[in-house]
Amino acid sequence: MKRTALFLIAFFVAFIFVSAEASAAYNYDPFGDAIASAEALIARKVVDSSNLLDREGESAGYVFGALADVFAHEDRVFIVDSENDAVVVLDDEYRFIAAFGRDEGAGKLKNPRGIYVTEDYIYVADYGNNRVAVFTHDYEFSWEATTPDDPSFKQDPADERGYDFKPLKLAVNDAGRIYVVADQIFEGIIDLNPDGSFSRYVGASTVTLSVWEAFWLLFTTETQRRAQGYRLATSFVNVNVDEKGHLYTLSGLSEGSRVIKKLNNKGYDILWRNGYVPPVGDVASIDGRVKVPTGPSQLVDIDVNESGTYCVLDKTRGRIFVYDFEGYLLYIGGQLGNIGGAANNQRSLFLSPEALCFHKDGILVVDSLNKNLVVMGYTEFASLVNAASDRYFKGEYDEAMELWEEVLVHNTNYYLAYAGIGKALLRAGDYRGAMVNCKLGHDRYNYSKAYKYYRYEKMTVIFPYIAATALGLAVFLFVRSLRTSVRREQEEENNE
Amino acid sequence: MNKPLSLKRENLKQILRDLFVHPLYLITHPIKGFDRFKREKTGKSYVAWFYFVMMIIANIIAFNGNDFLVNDNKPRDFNIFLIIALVAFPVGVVTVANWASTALMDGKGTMKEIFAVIGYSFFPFVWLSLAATVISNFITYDEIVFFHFLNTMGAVLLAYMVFFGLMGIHEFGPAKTIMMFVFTVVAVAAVLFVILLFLSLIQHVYSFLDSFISEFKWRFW
Repeated sequence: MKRTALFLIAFFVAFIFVSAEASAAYNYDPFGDAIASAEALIARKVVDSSNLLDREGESAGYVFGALADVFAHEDRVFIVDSENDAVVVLDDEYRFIAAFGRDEGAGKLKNPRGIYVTEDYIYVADYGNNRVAVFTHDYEFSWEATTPDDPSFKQDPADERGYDFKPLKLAVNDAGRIYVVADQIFEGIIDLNPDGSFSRYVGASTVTLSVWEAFWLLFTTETQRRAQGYRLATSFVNVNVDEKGHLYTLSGLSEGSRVIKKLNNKGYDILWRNGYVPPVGDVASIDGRVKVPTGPSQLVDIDVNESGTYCVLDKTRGRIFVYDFEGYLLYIGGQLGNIGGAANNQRSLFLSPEALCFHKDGILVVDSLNKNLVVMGYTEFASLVNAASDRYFKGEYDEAMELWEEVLVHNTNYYLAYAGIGKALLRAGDYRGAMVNCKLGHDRYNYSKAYKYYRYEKMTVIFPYIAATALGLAVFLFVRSLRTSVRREQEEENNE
Repeated sequence: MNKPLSLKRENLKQILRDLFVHPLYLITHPIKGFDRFKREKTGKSYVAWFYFVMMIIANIIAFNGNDFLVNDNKPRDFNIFLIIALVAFPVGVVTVANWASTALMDGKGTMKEIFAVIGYSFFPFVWLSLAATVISNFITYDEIVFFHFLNTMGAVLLAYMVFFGLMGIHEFGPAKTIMMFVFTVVAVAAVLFVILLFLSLIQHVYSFLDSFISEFKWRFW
């Protein structure tokens, strides 16, 4: 009886642990299976209407509506409030500075959706007014980029063909070129000259047919084909630009493993996808009896920092995926709300996350239903990973190796750290150690390189013995055959 | 009466001849070899069973022993019963299907001979796969092609031996052998269909009994 009770208790304890584990931080192993990881991103602060203070520490009195985008520039954070037709400016302590775009006049915004800030201007995707509105850093309206001069758009409200210019998201490079993602546009990302005039479309996804589709097309008549509708290229969802002017874009799900793209100036995708899993958010199919929304990740926003690390936001499950410049998945954080139950659960933060950006020691996320700004801070583990990744990006392999070793203290499941150590050891000439670590880190290429040198080292040691043995054997056989023939000759002589 | 097996020198020599020399002779002289295989009963069933078991062992070793450069298997997915089934089940089905189709095509081979041919055909695959496993542990990225070459070679030789073996024991010509393979594929499909039907039937019976018992319990317990 006692034993049964003990067993039951043990069972329930085990059950609690198992169910706790189900919602723990995770990452993907080289086989694409989810494995436990150390916690990487935790909510440090949640800024909403109730605790928004101004710089004097008084309540700011601004009530957030549905938030659409966030952008951090130097010591300020810009939040697009599409419900209140405003852009809210906070300082780097998340205190209210100003809200602009609400005053009557040329600068009045209507349902703004995206924002990008450069040294010179603040660019706002003014969805409702069919324009990109440009403000100075004093929050004064400066100029606007209206409907591009392209047949895809209605040049005149009376036009029957074409679409309205509905900018959703935008990014501006160092030269002031404006890249706009607009509603209904399949031709690619709209590239505007620094003065706002239309230049070209860039990075249009190519339409491809699968073999199966092409096979069935062989049997369709002209009329049937006409009834099938257009095969349109996937439209873009979001765009960002890095220091070198490369565009980081997000497309719809039909792009498969190329949802995230890095476009060079010619519009070619140059993103590295060397990681254990393709950079698409969640890779394991999430279905069945799980307490999270199912289906593939739907990436809605991307930001990139100076070491080539980029983070993407998955709207399906409210998760943030951070990848390094080579496409390795560094860590995963965040989660949609209402699953943990407890109010202080770190993973029930978001309801409908819309946008994110890197900021100081963390990642900012805005949520359109919670109407708040969540400051996701890096844990010590994530900081170490970031530092190591940054060192690796800069080519400081030895420093990176020391950091990777510290990362392993926090998370022994971290394959990338082993691979990083392996690469550093390979360069340092410790081939045996490099092999061990590359194998642990599933880095076949560098393992093979290390093994090549290791094998060569071994061979140079062993080969003299092999050669000596072979030579000895040859001499022995030669002498033996000589002796045999001599003996035979003697025997023949004796016989005679 | 069988003589007790003693490891005398000549017995050992005979075993080595059966396991290595004769299969090699079959590869190099497929027509003549498989003709004698049938007429003079040079094929021995213990050799077929030996290579059948070796095929399973070689697959197990390849799963675990292939170096990680060429090994995509998850070590934790290793399932010895699955590997056994993946060898035994196809062999069984193909043997039955081939026997069934050749019975209609005036093939002269018996079921035992068909199995023996398939068992003997594993000979090149088994040794080449084991060799590939060994060298996979001593190769770099650029040399992976050798590993794949050995495995492909094994598979090609397997197909080659099955073709000439079945041709020999059924006393068919090449064209008829190809016909036989087509029929065998159809027969395999039929066998699989019947097995699926049977499984689904069992499932239905099981679920019927299951619901019957629970219904009984709920009413009368």
